[in-house]
Amino acid sequence: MNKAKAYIGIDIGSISTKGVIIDESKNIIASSYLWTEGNPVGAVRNLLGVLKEQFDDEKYTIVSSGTTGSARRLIGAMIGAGVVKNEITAHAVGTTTIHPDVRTIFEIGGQDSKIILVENGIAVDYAMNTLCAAGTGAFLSSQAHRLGVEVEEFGEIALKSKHPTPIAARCTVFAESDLVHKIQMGHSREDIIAGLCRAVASNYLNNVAKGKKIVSPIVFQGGVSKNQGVVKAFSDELGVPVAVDENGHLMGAYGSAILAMESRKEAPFTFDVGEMDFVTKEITCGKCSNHCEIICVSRDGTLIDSWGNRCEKGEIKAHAKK
Amino acid sequence: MNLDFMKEFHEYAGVKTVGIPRALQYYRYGRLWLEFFKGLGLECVVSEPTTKDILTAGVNRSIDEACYSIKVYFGHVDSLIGKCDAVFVPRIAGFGIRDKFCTRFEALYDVVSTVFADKGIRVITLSHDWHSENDIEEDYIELGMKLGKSKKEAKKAYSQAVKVAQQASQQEAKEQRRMTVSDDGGFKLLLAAHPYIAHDPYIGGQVESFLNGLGCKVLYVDRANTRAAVKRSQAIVSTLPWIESREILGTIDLYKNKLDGIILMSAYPCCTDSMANEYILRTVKNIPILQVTMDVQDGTAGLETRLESFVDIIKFRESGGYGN
Repeated sequence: MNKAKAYIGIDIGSISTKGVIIDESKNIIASSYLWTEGNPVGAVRNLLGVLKEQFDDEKYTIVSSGTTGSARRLIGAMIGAGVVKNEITAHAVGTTTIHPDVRTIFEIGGQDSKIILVENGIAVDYAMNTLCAAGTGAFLSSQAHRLGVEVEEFGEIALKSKHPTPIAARCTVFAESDLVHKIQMGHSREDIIAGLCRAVASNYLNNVAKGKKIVSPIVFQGGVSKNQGVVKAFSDELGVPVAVDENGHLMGAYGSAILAMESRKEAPFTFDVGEMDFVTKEITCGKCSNHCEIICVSRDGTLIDSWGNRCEKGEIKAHAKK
Repeated sequence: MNLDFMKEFHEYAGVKTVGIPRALQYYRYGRLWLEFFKGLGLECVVSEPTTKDILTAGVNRSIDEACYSIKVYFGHVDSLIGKCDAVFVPRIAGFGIRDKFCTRFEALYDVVSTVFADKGIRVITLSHDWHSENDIEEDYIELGMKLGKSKKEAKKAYSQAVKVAQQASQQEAKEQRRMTVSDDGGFKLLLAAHPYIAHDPYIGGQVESFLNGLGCKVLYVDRANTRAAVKRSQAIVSTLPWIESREILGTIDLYKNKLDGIILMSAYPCCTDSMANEYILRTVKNIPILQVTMDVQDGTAGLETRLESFVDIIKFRESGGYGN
């Protein structure tokens, strides 16, 4: 009768949505990974559907939930999450739980990239790309498109190259024009792809990781870590092995589930959230010349949360949620 | 003999209401300016705190290469059109070779006059070069005389303004000093930024309220003992040319044993910070530093993610665990 406790963590990134359910010993008992496709609400609906199938509801009951990633607030409001945490914290918690000896975490996602430095199992410093998306997954995807290959094939193709072509990757715009030039000059496709992978690695080391002391063991995660070409470029450049966890893409969701567990905030959770009617509406606040874009989320016609206002003038909506 | 008619011939004749853009050096000298013009018997109109509309107007007036802060400044000038007889655009370049402001401050008067030439606005200025041999007081007196006041009146207005401005900043410094020594928990974070970034409600202004919400206290460079800070900076690096960079560097050194973290916030692109921040990042050890670049952008999500995770990291570091 007494079911074991379980915890769910959802990481909703710009490109992909990840979900993990863990038991009380922090073992992953269900997980899923799918594309966000610009529709976080829809992606989470699908995600919960997949997780529900894997989940043994005879044995476990979900007592707490957490969200992270760029749509954490939206989805947090939707599923009634107990913990809504930023992705840096979630990744640090997730990775150090699985790799307690890790010292440096590289993370390259769809839109941003970060480095987390760990000492004694605790994140002590981090940096994140400050401005643009150069050298992230989105950059690789757009270049793959130009070369007419799937981005998933990039790693394999890159490993075949003997002489990677040097490509300027400081800025996406320059990289693209440099790439076109190199194609016209007759460089082979493998060399160009390997060059792109190198450019991503060196761009990361020269920008995001600039001035940071990189200590081994290094764990590389985020969508781009699935690309063997970039992994090789990192280990060539640093002269030490770079580990990629097979669950590396799930670390944010995993960390979020652990945070939910440690918060001890228990609240009923239902997979059937997907069947409720969620509507997000954007309202432009007219109370001052900032014209804040306020996002209002309603469930079955009732407003449950709102955000986006810079000042209390736009807060009226948020008060109405209760 | 009645010489009243002579007043009609001074350079800034007819200026009764002075418009002051709430941007750049306003956050450093604003109080002094307001008091000075008041002392001369003039009305002052300060533009409203930065909003999206002000920024948009500024962006429309700027070239792409101008920095965020200049774009904001143009927006403030634009918002004063029609509300005053003249806009006060100072040209305070600095006070010595290792005591300069950014070159853009030196060009401000000429750039604003050119950019807004089609609007037919009147621009009044005060010009002080970093290589000027005179004291800046004389330039203020000259400005007062151009506005039709006697030397004596202008001098009086200036010394009164200096006094009022000093009192106000001493009060702020006192409050901050109290904050640095208090020990009631809550992280002490230094917002290491130029005053026009740190105090502009549309830029750094979001930082304080957000961090207060996370239970942190925000300290500012311009509320520290800036004189002591500059002195410290001279011991650290002799060649750094910019006053505000020196103040930031020196304040970090003054506070190094009191801080839990530093937020290095810059406008994009900032030429002085691009050098000074690099130096800080390489030399300041054992204090977590978050570097944030602010650009003409909407939404505060990216900033909040960075601030929230920064505070988390400090928390983990100090407690030695992830326990909640």
